[in-house]
Amino acid sequence: MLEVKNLHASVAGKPILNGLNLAIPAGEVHAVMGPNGSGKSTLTNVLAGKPGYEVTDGEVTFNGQNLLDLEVEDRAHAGLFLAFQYPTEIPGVSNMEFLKAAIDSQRKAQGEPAISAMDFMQQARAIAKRLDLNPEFLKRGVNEGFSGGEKKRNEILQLLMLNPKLAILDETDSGLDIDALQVVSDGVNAFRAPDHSVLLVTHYQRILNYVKPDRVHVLARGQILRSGDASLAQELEARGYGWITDAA
Amino acid sequence: MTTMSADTQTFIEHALARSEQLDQEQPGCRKLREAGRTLLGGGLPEGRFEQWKYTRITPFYDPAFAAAEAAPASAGDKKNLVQWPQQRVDLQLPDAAHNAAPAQNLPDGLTVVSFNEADEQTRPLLDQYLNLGIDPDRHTLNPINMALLADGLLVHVAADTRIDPLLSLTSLAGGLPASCQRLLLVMAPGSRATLLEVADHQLPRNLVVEIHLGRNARLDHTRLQPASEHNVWQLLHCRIDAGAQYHFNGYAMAGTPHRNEIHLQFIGEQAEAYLRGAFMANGRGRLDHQMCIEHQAAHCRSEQQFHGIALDKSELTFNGRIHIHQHAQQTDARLSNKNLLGSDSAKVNTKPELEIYADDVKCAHGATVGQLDAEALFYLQSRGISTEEARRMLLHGFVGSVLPDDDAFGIGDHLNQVLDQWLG
Repeated sequence: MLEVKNLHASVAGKPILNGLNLAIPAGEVHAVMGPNGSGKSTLTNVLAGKPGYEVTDGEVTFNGQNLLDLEVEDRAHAGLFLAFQYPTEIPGVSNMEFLKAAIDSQRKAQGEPAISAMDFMQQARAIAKRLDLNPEFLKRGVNEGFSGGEKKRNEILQLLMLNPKLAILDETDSGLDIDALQVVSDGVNAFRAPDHSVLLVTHYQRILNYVKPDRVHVLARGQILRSGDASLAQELEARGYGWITDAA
Repeated sequence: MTTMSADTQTFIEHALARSEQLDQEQPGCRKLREAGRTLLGGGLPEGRFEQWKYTRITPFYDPAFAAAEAAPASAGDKKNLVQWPQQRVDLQLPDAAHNAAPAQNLPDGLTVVSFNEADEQTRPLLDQYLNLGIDPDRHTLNPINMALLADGLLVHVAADTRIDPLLSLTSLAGGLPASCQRLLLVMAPGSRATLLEVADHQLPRNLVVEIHLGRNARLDHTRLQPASEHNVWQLLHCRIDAGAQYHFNGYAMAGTPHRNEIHLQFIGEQAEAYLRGAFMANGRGRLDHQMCIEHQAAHCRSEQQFHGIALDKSELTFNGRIHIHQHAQQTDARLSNKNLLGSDSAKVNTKPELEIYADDVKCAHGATVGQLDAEALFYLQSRGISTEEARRMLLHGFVGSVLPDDDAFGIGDHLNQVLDQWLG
């Protein structure tokens, strides 16, 4: 589904990604772990097309399309979703209005009519309930005054409403208590399907107890230094990153 | 003022002559006009000075205000700019071409009378409150209103009375080349009312709204000012006595130019004022907003939150002055003014101004001018929302965050429609 080859990227002229290779087949969950400053967030932002991140070399193919050629919104239309590490607060725009505009813009791109208000509300309420969010939450400004946990759950709400092909979760587990982690993990597991893939970027092995990864990759110094199965995450938890980064 | 231009001198001469003529035709406001003439006789300022740094004052000395001839009056056209509730009392401001419409079926405790028709019951209110506390040096265009006022409207709410129907205030169009209008709203102690003002100016206008809130009174005041192609100067002057509450929500669109002056005076302790609003300009529109809160009594609270949007080649000016007098201890005053520039050619002048003479107060102020938040734009786009749509949503949101809490009159819908039209 996603193939990243020899990706080089810089921020404000400073190289962060230095020849990163990664392939995520359909239906798989891949975790990317790594120490602070290793380039994890740069990878997610480059994939989502955030301005300010300059790709200097390499290629990214998403379901056969050259992802780097697409505008931010077209990447979303193609089925890519980024759950933000720090979801932005947008006062004055209600969560509901935002979600409906997002769904409608994606439906429009697929040549489908806008979702009916009733279908939308039914879906939104059902998913909010599953994520243990009060439906009143839909009326509030986007992420406005939300707690850290609410913001992350709101990202998962959007993930489940938009139903993309690839979900990129940028440290969605950070700052969550055990209960919220469980709820968020359940949401991610609900998203898992043979035609859905997940790129889960995290600092901690903890979330991987709930969301079982097919592959685990270690990102350091802008490259994937090691890949393995779920047991690699446990080994990292026990030994830290030093034994990999020092060896490289 | 020996340096006054010939045009301004001529304007004053014509205004004085017209004012005396009005004394013959409309004797009701003679005292106010006399006071206005005295002030006008002292001359009018010209050029750029601190209070008129960004807006030229002389276009407001429009000879049309002093003209006596009347054009045919058009009917009071209540445009559907907002959702008018069924339960309401329609108030119309009189001027030289329009009499005050007789207010019908008034609820108990509400008195509505034109200045010219004031009787022995209501005249003492005019004597006591009209033009009370308005500083002629600060509100330099008030003397024009005073001298050229043909008639005004007095609204009185009796003590401890709650007026449930909405007081809806509109201005009639036509009838004159320019018009001076004045509302005096006196809320007796313990009274409560809601006022919706649609200031749709279809001719050059000089408008003064005076509000006196008695002890423990409460007024919820919403003002919508659509764009107009005429010079408009408006003064909102509100005196707030002990324990009273004033809630103001004002939304103005630019004209050529518009100048809004808002002056609040806390004259009794434990009173509160909450002011919120948005100013939007497009094209070459100019909107100058002068805010002044005078804390003259202790333990009062004022909160101001105003958002400005300047598109195209427009220019917004916001001057937010908070003056805390020496004995106004334990004042809590906050002011926030945020502005968005929608183009490289748009301009915003914003200046918070603090004058604090008391030593035990809380005072916070902040002003920002910026572009749309790039992070927010990216967040929306990352969900598949197009750049244009995301921009539109963020502008709606920027205005939406300063709407009235319940937005019962549908102000938000109106402002969003205007913005969409402007954005094309």
